[in-house]
Amino acid sequence: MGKCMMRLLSDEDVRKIRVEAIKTLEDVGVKVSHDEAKKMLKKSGATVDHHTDLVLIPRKLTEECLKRVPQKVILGARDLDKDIILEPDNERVYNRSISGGEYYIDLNNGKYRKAVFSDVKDWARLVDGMEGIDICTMPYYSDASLNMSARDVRGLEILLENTSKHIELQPYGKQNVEYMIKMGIVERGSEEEFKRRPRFTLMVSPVSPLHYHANSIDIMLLAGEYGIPIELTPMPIAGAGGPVTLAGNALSMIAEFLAGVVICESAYPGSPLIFAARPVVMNMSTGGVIEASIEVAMLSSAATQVAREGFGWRSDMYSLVADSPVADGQSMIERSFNCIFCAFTGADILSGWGCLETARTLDIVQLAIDSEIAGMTSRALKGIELNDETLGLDAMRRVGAGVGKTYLTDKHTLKYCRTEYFKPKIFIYSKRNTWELEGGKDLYERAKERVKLILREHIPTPLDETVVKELRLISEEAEREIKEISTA
Amino acid sequence: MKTFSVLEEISEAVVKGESETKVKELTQRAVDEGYQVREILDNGFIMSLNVIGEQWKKGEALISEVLRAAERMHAGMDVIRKLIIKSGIKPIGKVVIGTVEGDVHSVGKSLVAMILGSFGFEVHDIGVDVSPEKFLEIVKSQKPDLLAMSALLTITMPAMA
Repeated sequence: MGKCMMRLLSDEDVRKIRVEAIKTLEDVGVKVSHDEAKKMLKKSGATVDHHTDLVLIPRKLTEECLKRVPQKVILGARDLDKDIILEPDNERVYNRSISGGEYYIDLNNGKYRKAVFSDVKDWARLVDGMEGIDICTMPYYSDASLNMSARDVRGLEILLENTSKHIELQPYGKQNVEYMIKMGIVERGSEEEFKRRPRFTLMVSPVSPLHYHANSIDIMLLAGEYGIPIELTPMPIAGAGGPVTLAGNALSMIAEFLAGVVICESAYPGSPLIFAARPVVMNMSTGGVIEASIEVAMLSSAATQVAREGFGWRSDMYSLVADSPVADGQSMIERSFNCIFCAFTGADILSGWGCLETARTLDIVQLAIDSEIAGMTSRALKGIELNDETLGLDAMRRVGAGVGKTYLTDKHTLKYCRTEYFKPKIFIYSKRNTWELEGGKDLYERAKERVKLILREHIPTPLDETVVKELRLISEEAEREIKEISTA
Repeated sequence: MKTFSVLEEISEAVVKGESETKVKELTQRAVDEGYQVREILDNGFIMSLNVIGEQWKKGEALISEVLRAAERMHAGMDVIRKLIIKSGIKPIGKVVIGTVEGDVHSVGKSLVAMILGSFGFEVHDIGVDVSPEKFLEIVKSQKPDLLAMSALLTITMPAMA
C-alpha cells in the first residue's frame, strides 16, 4: 500500500539538524533555573555555572539520554481497549482538541466571550461523543467565584467524569500536579495502574531561547516519577525567541526539546516524552505572532520529520490551527494546509481541533468542522491499496466493454463501495436548488446542528459514584490549598 | 550631485540601519560642524524616527528594522549624551517597565522599552518576574511618570492589580 508522505528535508538535512542540535547544547548551552536539576546535570558530566544557570551539555550525555527515550508511549483511556499506543508506524494518526485558550464562541448566540466553567463539561461531552477525536483538553475558563490558580485541577475533575478518552492538560505548578496525580490514582484504583496506563498527559514549555525554569522542571520531575507522559512544547518565536529563518527555527525547536530530553532522562530514564514543538512566527509588521501561516506549516513538517527520522521521537503537532479570529474561509484554509503538512510528514497526533485566533479562542462548532478535515486527512493517509483484487481485474473482465455495461451491481462494487470512501458528516453534495430547499445552510450552520445533536444525545459513560465523590473531595482541597502560582 | 546636510545623513543612516560606527561618526561630525544639540536631536534623530514610524505604519518597515533604527539612534545619542545634559534638555518623561511576578516573558517588554527610549523617555527596565513589592519600591524611589507592566501568561495578569 502506498502512503502519502511529505518530506521537505533531505536525509542530509535531517542529519545536519541532528548534529547541530546536539552541538547547540554543547556550545550555546541551556539555562536551567533549578538547583536540583543543575546538581544532577553536573553529576552527569555537564558544565554548570551556578550564578548564571547556564549548563553546557556534552555530546556524550545527550547521546546517552537519547537512548533512553521510549519509542512507544501509552496514553491511557478510561477503558483498556481504548488506550492509545503511540509507536513507530502507527496504524493510524490520532487527534486532539485545542488547549489553553481563554475565549469561547457561545454555541447558542455565537458571541465571543470568555470561557466559563460550564463550558468545560460541554467541551468534554462533545469530544467524548465525536468520532475521530481521541484526546480531550479543556478551555481555560474564568470564574471569579473559583480559585483561578486551581482551574487546571478542577478542570481535570470535570474531564474525568465526562469523557472516557485520554486527557491532556497544561498544569500550572507542582502542587497542582500533585492533586492531579491523586485524582488519577483514585480513578485508576491504584498507583500501580496509574503508572502503567497514564490517564493524562501534561504539557510543559521551556521559555525561548533555551531556558527551562524552576516551575517547569518541578513538573517534569514529578511527572517523571509517575511515568506521566510529557509533551514538551518549545515555542521559539521566529525572529524573536529563535532564528527567523525556517531552517534555523527548526533547529532551535529541536535543540530546546533535546535539552528537555536530557533533563527528564537524566532524572528518570525511560520517561515518556512527546515532541510537541509549536512553530510560531513573529509578525514583523505588528509585533504579534502567527501560528498558522504556510511557513508555520512548513516548520511543523520539518520539525516532525527531524523528530521521527533523526531521533525516533513520538510527536504531537498543531495541525487544525488558525490565526483567523473567526471560523471563516481563512480559518479553513489555514487549518487545512497545516493539517496536511503535519499529517503527511507522519506526526503521531494532530492537535488543535476547535482552535481560532492563534490559539486564544475555542469554537466548539469549528471543532465539529475539524472532524471533517481530519477525516479526509486520515483517509488520505491510508493511501491506495493496490493489488489484483483492488485493481478490479476480475471485475473488469466480468463487466466487459461497451456502453450499457455497468459496475453498479457488480460484486466488486458492493464489496468495496462502503470502505473505499470517507463519508463526511457535515459536507454536502447537493445542487443549488436542493440546498435552498433544505434551508440554504452553510457549513457553520450545519456543523452547529451536529454539535447540538451530539450534546443532546450523547451520554458519556458515567464514573462510579464513589470515584466521583472522591474526585470532588480532592478538587475542593485543591481549591482551598493552592495559593499563588509562580510560573517563573 | 545632491549634497545632504550631515543631519540628513544621520537620519538616513539611522533609517537604513547603517553601522553603529557610521552613525557615531556622523553625529560627531555634526558636533564638529557646529550644529546645536537641539538641532541634531530634532533634525537628525527625531526626524529619522518619524520617517521609520511612517514606513512602519504603511507596512514598508518591519519590526526588526524599526528596532534596529532605535538601536542606531541610541548609539548616536551616546556621542552627545554629555552635551544633552549640559544643554538642559530633559527627557519627555520617566518610565519604569517590567514583566510581572510569575512571568518571565520579555520580548514585548523590550520592544516597548526600546521604542519609548527612542522617543525621548528615560526608561528603567527592571526585568522579569517583578513582584508587586519591588514595583512599589522602585516607583517610590524613581518616581516615574509612567509605570508599564507586561504579562504574557493569562494566569499572571491579575498580578497587575
